[in-house]
Amino acid sequence: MAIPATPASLGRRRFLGMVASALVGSAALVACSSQSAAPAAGNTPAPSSAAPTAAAGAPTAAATTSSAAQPAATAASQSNEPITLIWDTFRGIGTPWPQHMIDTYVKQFPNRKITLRPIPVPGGQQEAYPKMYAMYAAHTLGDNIAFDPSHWEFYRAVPQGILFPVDDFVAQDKLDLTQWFKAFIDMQHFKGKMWGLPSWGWTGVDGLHFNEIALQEVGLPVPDQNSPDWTMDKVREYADKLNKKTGNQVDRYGIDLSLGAAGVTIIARAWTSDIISEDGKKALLTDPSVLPAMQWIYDICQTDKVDALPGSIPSGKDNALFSSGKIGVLQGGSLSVTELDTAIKDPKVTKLKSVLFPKRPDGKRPNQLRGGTWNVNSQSKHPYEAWQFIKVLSSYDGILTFNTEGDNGALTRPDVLKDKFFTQNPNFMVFLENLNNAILAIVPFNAHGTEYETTFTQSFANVYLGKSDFKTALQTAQNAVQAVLDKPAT
Amino acid sequence: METQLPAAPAPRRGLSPRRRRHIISGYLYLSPWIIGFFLFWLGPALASLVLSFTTYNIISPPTFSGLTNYVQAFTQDELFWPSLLKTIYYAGASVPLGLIGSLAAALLLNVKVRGTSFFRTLFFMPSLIPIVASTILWAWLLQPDWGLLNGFLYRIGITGPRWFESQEWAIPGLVSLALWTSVGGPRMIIFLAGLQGVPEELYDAASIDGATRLQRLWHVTLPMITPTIFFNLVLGVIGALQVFTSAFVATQGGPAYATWFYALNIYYQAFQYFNMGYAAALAWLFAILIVVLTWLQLRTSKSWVYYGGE
Repeated sequence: MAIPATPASLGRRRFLGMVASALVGSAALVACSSQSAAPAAGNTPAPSSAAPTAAAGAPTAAATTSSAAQPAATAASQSNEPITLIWDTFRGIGTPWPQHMIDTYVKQFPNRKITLRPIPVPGGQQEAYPKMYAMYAAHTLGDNIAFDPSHWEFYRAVPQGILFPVDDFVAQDKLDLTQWFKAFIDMQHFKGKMWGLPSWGWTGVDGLHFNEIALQEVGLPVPDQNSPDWTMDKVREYADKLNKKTGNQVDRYGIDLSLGAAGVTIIARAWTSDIISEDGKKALLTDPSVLPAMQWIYDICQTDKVDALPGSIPSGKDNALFSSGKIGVLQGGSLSVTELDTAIKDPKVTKLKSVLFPKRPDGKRPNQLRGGTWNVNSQSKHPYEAWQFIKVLSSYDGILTFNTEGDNGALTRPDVLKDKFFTQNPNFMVFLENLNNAILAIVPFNAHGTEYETTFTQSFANVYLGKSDFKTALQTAQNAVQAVLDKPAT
Repeated sequence: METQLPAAPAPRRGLSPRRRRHIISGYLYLSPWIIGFFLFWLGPALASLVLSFTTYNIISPPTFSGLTNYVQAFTQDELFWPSLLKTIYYAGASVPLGLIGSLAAALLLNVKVRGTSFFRTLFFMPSLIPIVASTILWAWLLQPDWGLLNGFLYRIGITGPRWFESQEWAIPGLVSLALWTSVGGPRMIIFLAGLQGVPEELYDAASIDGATRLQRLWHVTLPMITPTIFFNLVLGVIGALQVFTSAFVATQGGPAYATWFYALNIYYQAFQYFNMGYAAALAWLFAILIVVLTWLQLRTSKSWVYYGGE
């Protein structure tokens, strides 16, 4: 029988040796990482000009570098010199989509490689941005990045010189921009330049997802969104009738409105108004044009008491409750269609029927374009090659598979919507009308977008909770939001 | 008579090579922790102190702004005082209730009956659940219309509160969650250890003197475990003042800032609005508050904490 070897005891000498090795190893690692970071900073004309100038005129600085960097980059690709791009992304992570995109690109350009660096966002997508800003400041941010307009960070990143303008590349490649919905291309523009190509996108929480089973139960037909009778009063009437109670206990909420800035904007736009002025400088919560919308929300929440108020549903669980038949109608957009389809387990309890909000007098329906972007880092050594990669990401295949493989909602290209993934689902096709008539979001002019949204969400709660009288609560919310808009630009 | 001066001590000889090796070895053994302390604690802490006197948004280099951030906290930030008061309210409710609950649980589990280990494990289990998971669980339990708690209240004819939907009940809801996770947790284990250190002869003497069970608890147990109570109090206050995760997950500071705790204010300023310099100032003000509160507790402890050896 073999005698098991006695485990070597960890003596002092041995331990100290290990510590010393670890220290030497760490030092070597630090040295290597600083070596690898250094060329990224040193070889790029953009960072030296863009980073320090910051708010003052960084886009101009970056724009200057674009023409300088581009011929060099093109020459590099022509010389078949091996190039490695770094792709920092929090989108599509955990799905096969990023690798699919990398394979597609490398197939086109065999002398190139892409290193994927997923950005973990356990607490939500917004967590990606401080990490990307810190990486940019440290000159370690990848060549391909995304600062999404609908997360407001696009409007901060552009003035800070983080993004590389792509107008010259578009012109050089004679890129046909009509392959995307116009509104999503408009969204890529800021301060007179274009900064990327569309990624995800939809028209916001512009739909009302009805539970057809609940409608049958209360004897109501699925609303005809094209009927002149389909009005905001009718929406309220539906919500009221769908609400179900036993004594004081709610069995089914009539409606679940989206009561953050994005959702309330849709309701304000139903009255052809908005919650923020077009120049992004004034809060309009107490403006006479928006008051009927605010009153409508208040009436549903406090007069009729048929809304599932925020806080009554655990955060992010609205779809789960809708699918279990606990919500009659859920305010949501095209993005929710896939999520709800996945969430609905029993068609005897819930059957989804999506309808748009009623038409306004101008014939448009209220919506608010929401979308993302694929960008090139202004510090990139290979901006043109990085641009070629974002063209892959935003191509027909890139956008289609972003939906089908990447678990994202990307309705940014009309050709993609002809795929059976969409056409087989009538609830998707409902939103096509708004994609063709999309209304852009109004951007707070001072780029305090996140603070604006958070402040709105918190202060508007006073309105729908009915703690003080309607007008006082609205004025308080107005003051709070205006205080954010009055802050100096970042 | 001449005074005899004591002999001058022999000049200190240099450290022997053996002693020197010992010292170097000691430091090398400590080095991972020393390096970690400087690199990941003291360094960032000092950096944040410096940043608190600057305007800094991560992207651009920090610019010195003197005491502006501190002045802003006291005079311009409309959420500074409310967030501080809400945090104190939360701590004021959760710490005493938590201490009483943990002590009560420890007293129960200190009784020598069959299956004590099983019950101790059972009580300890909630504290092992990650805070995010337990928060989501409690968000469902406290759902105002179908949640288990309100469902139970409804069955006995009581209309339950609206919990996280209500400005008044959101903090009590978070306190309930904190109690569930902490009453049977490490605090209870520390109390158990304290209780087991109370000498049996004191109970025997009290019994001979005719003390009832309650009197023994009041006159023997509690005085003898005051160091444990004090320890749990200090740690409990520090922990409660740092409340963040449960509010971040369950209410995001709402409704209408009802659970906008101080740590949440720091988080939003730093990682959502990128006012890093201001967030650093808020953090340092908070650190000072915690140090002052801890110092006050230490000062008052002299009048009520009994250390056997003193």
